[in-house]
Amino acid sequence: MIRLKDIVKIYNKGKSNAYEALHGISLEIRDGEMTAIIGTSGAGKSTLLHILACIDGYDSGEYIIDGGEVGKISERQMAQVRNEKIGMVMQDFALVEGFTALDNVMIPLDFASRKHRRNRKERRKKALEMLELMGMAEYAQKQTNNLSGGQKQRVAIARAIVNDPAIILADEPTGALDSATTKEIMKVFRNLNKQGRTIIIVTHDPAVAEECGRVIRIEDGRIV
Amino acid sequence: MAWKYAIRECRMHVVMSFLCMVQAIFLFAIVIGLLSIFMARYSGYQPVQKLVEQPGFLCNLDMSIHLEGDAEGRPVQSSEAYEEMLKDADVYGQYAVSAFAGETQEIAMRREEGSFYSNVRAYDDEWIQGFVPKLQSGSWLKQDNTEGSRLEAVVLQSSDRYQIGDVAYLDTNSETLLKTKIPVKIVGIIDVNSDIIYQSNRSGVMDYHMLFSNMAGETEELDKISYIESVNHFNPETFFVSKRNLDSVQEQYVDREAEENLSENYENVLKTEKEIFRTELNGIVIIAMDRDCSREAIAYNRNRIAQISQFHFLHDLDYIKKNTWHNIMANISDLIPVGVGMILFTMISFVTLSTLMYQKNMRKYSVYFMCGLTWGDIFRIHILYILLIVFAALALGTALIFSARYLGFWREVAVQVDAVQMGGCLMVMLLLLLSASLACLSLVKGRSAKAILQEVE
Repeated sequence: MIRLKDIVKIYNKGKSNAYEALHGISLEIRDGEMTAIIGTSGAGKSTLLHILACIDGYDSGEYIIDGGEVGKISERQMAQVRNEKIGMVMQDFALVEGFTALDNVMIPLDFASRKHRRNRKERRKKALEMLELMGMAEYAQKQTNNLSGGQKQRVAIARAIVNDPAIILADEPTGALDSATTKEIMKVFRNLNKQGRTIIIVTHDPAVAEECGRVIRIEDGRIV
Repeated sequence: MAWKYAIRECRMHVVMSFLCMVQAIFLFAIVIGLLSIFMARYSGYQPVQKLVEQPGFLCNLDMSIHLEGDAEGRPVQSSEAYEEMLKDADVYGQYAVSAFAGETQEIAMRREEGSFYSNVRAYDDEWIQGFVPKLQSGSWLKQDNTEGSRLEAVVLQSSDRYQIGDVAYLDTNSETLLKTKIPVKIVGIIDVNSDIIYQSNRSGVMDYHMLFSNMAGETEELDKISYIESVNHFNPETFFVSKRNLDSVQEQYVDREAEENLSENYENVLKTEKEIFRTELNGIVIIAMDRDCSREAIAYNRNRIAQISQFHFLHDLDYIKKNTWHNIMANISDLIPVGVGMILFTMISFVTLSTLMYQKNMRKYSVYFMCGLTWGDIFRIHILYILLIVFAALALGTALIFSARYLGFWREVAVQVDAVQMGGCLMVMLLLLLSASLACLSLVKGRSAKAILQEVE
């Protein structure tokens, strides 16, 4: 379960151009929910998602994930949370150019803590399984820059789920895709949600939001 | 895991990595070159640096005599006797020994030129400890070999007459020979090209070279004069022994020799009560004084040495030290600013390139961050990558130098890759890593991961 309580985020704190992006956001997302976060540009939805993904900090409030408060854990533990509990999908796919699809999917497996790290053979097997699940097995050895947008996003999703995280966070995952591919990708998200994963999608697209069981609207840094 | 990703960086940025490597090779070449020039000059001085860099005098002694007391007019036979005539001085002496080393029949048969007698020279412990000549085989004299059971010698020879383990015999060089010749075991052979402490034959150069003789050089001189004129010239074969070892061994033979020679030849071969062979302080001698000695004491000893000794030269060690450093640093002082400038320029260029690569990789690194690494882990990957380039450069550079030497290039050039040069390269390597690290850290410092992600987006 994810719980945010009075989360405040101030950019450029202490400077003349400081501004508050989130004004005390509180929300609760239960396990297995598929949630869309919508809002206009600059509303603070991406900021919220990045806080949820543990790639950005907050200035006050509480962020509790699986009973543990994120603000109180070390950088190393936070990295472990990103690796094990959260899968992140970005609008621009965030794949490493020059790596093959398989190499990209193997990244979270390689970076797992020693305690949880599989051996090389198993890592490879697991990554191939994820690519197969995304229908991308035949592209495993292809460089990602030779793939189409949809294929790239499938590889990105394969990477996001390879460590079996309970939460998938997606920042405009269909923003760079055509409508047909968008449908395909949303189907993938729905399937992942059916498997019990919590899905949180930041989107501009009402059609994408409609497919989610819950919609959270943010305006000027507040949930409305 | 960090290594895997660091190696992958090398594969992904072949051109940039190659450029960085070329710069690093260039950097190492400058460091190795500069250090080689220095070491080529300094390596000869290093073994005697401690001896030279102390207050005192360097004297090429012909002989010294007692000026007063019972021994007045007699040659000084030991460092201790010489020290007694000086003030607060410690004398590192060597001795011309009135003995010849001869061969056994077995050794004489081994060669065709006939038998030959060699000079014998004895060293004080200070010289045995102070300078070890380059040996062709065997070991150098031992300071603690003074139990008296066996006399050991290290031989300088122009032919391969003696071998390790051979036993030669000492006899007097007077008319009356010993009844029982004293065995001397050869424990080491000095390399014929090695510098040794003897009579200086480098009087043209007023630096540490004055300490040394060189048989190869001396032989050329001997060829010109065609015969051996005095003990000041090298005998083609010379036995070097420890003075203390010689004293304690000959003590065992004293009584029997005195008795047998007196009864048979009516002649006493003994030079003193305990000595069969006369030893005269002769050759290169260092008269060392305390570091806190007064100028008056130095002046007194200088005058005293002049009174009691005949010498070829007498110099303050400080004068030798200054000349030595002047000669070692000649031209290098001019090269240092250029070399340091080139090192700095190349380092800046290398660090700039590595920082550019870090900047270029920020997007990839932010993906790594997202997937579960800390910025510290990512930084470690980048530094390992730099380390790989630098190590590859060092290995390739060293391989190039060895190949060039193997193929016969640079035979006349003093380029060497020894511990000092490698140490210099490692220091530069650390500097490179440190400056590259600081430059890369400055890119991340104070920025959140999200900010970095957004920028690279």
